Amino acid sequence: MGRGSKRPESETEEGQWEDDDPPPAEGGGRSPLARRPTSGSRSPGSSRPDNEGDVISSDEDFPGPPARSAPRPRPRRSSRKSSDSAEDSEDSADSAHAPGWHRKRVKDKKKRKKSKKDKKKKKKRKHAHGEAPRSHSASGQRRQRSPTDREGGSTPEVAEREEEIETAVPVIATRRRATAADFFQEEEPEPRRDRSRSRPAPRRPSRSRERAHRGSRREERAQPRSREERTREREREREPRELKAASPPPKAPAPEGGSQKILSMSVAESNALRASLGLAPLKEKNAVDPNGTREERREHKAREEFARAQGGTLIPNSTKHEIHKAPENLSQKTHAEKLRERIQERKKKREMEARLLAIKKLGDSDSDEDRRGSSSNWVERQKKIQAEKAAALKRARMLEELEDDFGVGHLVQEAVAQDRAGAYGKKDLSGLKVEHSAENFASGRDVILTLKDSDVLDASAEDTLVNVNIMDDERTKKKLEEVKKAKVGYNAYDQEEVDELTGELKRKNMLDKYDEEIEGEQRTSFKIGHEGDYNEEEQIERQRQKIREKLNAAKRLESLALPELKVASDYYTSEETAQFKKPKKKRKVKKRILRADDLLADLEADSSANKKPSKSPAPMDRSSKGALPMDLDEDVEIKFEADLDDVKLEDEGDMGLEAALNRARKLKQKRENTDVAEQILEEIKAEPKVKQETEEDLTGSELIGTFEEEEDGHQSQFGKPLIMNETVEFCRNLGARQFNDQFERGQKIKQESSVSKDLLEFEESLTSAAGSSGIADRSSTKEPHQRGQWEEVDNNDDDSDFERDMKMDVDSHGEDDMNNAAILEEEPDLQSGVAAAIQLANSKGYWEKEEKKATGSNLKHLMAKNYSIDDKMRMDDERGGRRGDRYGGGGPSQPFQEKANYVPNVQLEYIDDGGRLMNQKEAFRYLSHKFHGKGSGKMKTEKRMKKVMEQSLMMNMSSTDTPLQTVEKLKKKQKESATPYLVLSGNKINPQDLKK
Amino acid sequence: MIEITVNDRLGKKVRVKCNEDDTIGDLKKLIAAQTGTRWDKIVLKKWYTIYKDHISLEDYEIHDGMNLELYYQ
Repeated sequence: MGRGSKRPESETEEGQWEDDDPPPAEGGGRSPLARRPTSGSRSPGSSRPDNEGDVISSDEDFPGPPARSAPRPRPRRSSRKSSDSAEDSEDSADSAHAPGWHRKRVKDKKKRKKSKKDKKKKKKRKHAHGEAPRSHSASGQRRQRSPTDREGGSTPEVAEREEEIETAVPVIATRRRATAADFFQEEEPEPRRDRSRSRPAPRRPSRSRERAHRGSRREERAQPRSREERTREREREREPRELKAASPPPKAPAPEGGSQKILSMSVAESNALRASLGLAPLKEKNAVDPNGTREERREHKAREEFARAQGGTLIPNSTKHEIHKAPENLSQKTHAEKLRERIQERKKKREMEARLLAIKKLGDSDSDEDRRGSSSNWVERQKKIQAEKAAALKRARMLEELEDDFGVGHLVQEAVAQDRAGAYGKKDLSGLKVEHSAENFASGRDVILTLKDSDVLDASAEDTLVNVNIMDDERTKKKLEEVKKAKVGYNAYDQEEVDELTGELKRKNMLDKYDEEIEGEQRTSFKIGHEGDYNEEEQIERQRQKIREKLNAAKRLESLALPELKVASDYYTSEETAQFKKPKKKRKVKKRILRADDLLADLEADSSANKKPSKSPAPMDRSSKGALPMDLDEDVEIKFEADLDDVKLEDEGDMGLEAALNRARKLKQKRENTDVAEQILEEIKAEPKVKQETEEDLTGSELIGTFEEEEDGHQSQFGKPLIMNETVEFCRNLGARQFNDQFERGQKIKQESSVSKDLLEFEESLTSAAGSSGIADRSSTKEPHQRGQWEEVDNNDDDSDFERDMKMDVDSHGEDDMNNAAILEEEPDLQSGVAAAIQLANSKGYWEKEEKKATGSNLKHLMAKNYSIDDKMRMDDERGGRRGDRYGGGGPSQPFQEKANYVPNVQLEYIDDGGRLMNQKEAFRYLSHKFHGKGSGKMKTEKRMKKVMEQSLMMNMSSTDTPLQTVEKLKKKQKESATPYLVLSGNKINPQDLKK
Repeated sequence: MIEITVNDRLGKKVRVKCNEDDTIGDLKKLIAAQTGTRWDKIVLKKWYTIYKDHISLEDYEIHDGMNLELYYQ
């Protein structure tokens, strides 16, 4: 039956199918003619309600299987080609989508068998019943189409199709009442929709055409409904149980759809569904039936209004007061809330800012008007100011008049004058330097001058006034000049330049381009005059003065008279010698300060009392060396004097000194090599003096001390007692031991010292004098230095340092004077400088004194004998050599002169990888293999290896023994067994047994 | 009210009536009601454009009679 929808080509197939497959035509004809119940959907108002009413009452088993008229929607295209396999696959696809369907299909199949029988019955029934005239016409239509169909050709089948259509309708009606839940649970599509597209495929008109047909179809359907119901009821009666349990609904014979069905819902259905989903009802253009009565319309309007009042939309076809109210969108609500908040915030912020703007800032000007920058405002302001000024002037005049009237005018004037006097004015400017040329200041023009930046630390810098703009001008001017000079370029012949302004030749100095660099920039300047103003005449006068001075300085009278002729002499005249002498002024001052010289002069007497001839040169030394170390010339002078015996010194203050010099001279004559010692001593004495000097500078108390000294005079020096206490003694002994050790050491090396007794005496006297004076004021600083100094003595002698040191030991710390010196030196004052610190370090042994010479001599034998700097240049040599190599020259760049006769004995030895010496042939092979990167084959190498092995074995083999040393073993065995023979046997056999 | 046809090309073709201001999500619910699938398993596409649930039909410019592709996820 359903085959009607098939295309003719497929007929044969279908025929087969029908043969072997039990009636697919019946069951498979799923809603072949299912039509859209457009009447309901298109105009819900009109025809629908009636249908509904009918059906609902009649259809009891609503959501049940009968609802399904055509469970298999079928794609249109596939139906066209319509192979059965395609259909089957479709079936399976469908069932996959909707398992409920599958169930139905199974039921359908069962049903099919039955329906085969039913078919016949139905046919009969139909015939019996006869058809309604309208449906007849409809079926007639179809019949016209169906001739192509195999089955469609028969009228009864068409009728059946009709039947099916009718059965579907009531279901839809009930559907309308179903809840959304039903929709979701039920997975089967609305049956009505199936019908919409399940018209026979071959005849299918285009959609528009189809729509055109709809109207007629609607009519078709309207009538047979009652009849349909009846048939259905009958069917139900027939198998009421099965329906519920397993079998498909009676209308299940729903034929197999020829094409795909489009599921669709009516508006009412849609609205119901939407209502259940909570959606707004569909918006219909003409919700109200224009054909409806006035009352209806009014009612509708009222309902709409009501709905609007409630804030919803009216649900069409609903009971009176059903409206749809869109749910609140929470997210939108929160979003809106947020927005509102933000707006509020912004608003507040704006207000705040406005308030803040009203507040005046620190940088703002005080007057409100300034900020409002309109020109009219400004004009107004100016006017106001003007008026105020005028008023003030007027007031002042009035006051003046009043003052005049009362006679207080002059008092006021005085007060003002007083005030003025105190203020900074013209006169304060006088003498200030302006560092510009006066031309820059035209009269009648104000120029603001500022104090020029100057070095804060430079005390000589005077306040200078400059003007920034003029400075800039000057700079540009200078630069321009430089450019001009550069343009001129090199002045090869040093041509004189002509001053542009004066037309004079510019005077040139040697290398005057460096003048600026050396002397700094020369700037013209002038001084502000007496009255705080610039007086040009005055200035000019001053300049003139300057020029005059310069001229005077340059002016020198040259006499034409020649110098007197004199007889040439080998010797200086007394006048000439006098020229060498220093002015004595300084000395006098020194003498006053330093009493040591005087002391030494007195020492003479003392030393004579000391049972020693008074030949001490000490005074001389003291005076010459130690007087004022600052004055270095003195030394020279004295020496000079010593040389010139006959020259008379005319210095009253130096009588003592002269005596000392004499004594020193005598001493000098006595000893042979005391020069050195003397020098050393001089220096010894000098050093502490320096110290003194500095100390004098340092502390006032010491200065006072020196003055005291002066007052006391010579006598007091020796009157002072020597204080000795336990601690001092102890320390002295400590020091003495130390010194003894040193001394002994020194003696071993050298103690045939040429130091005479005189020297010792001199030394003694010297130290005692120093010591006594030191006790008086600064002995503590003096003595330690004397002792500490021995390391620092600088000798011109060729003697080794060590020797000298020892000599110094002997000199300065002879047995006798050891007691005199304080043993523990006082620490040098670190404040006085680095020298003192070094001294301290030396004396305390913080650092060791290097004895370079000693080490040098010790390792002399290890030093390279022919070491030359050239060796250090090896690197360079190599580099140079390499370059030379390229051009065929090898070897060092400098020829070895000393190897001129050298003939090298060259022996080339080739060694293989194993270190074996190779002969010429092998070497060549080796080289060749290396060169070609390819050695000989395996066999050959093995052979060679073997040969080599053998050779080496041969070489190692002793001539008296086999390679396995059997002879030796034999001997050993014989020794062990003490027999002259050896038994050769596999088993161990006792030699005794063998004998037997 | 507009009508939209949805086709999964596997045998389901549904014509749905809806409002233009419905969202795609609403449309999916309607389709689901008609096809019997769960609405959240439905994907609506037009060529390569996958329509998103929260956007309304008019925003996607889906008009009356348009065909949408129906897929399942």
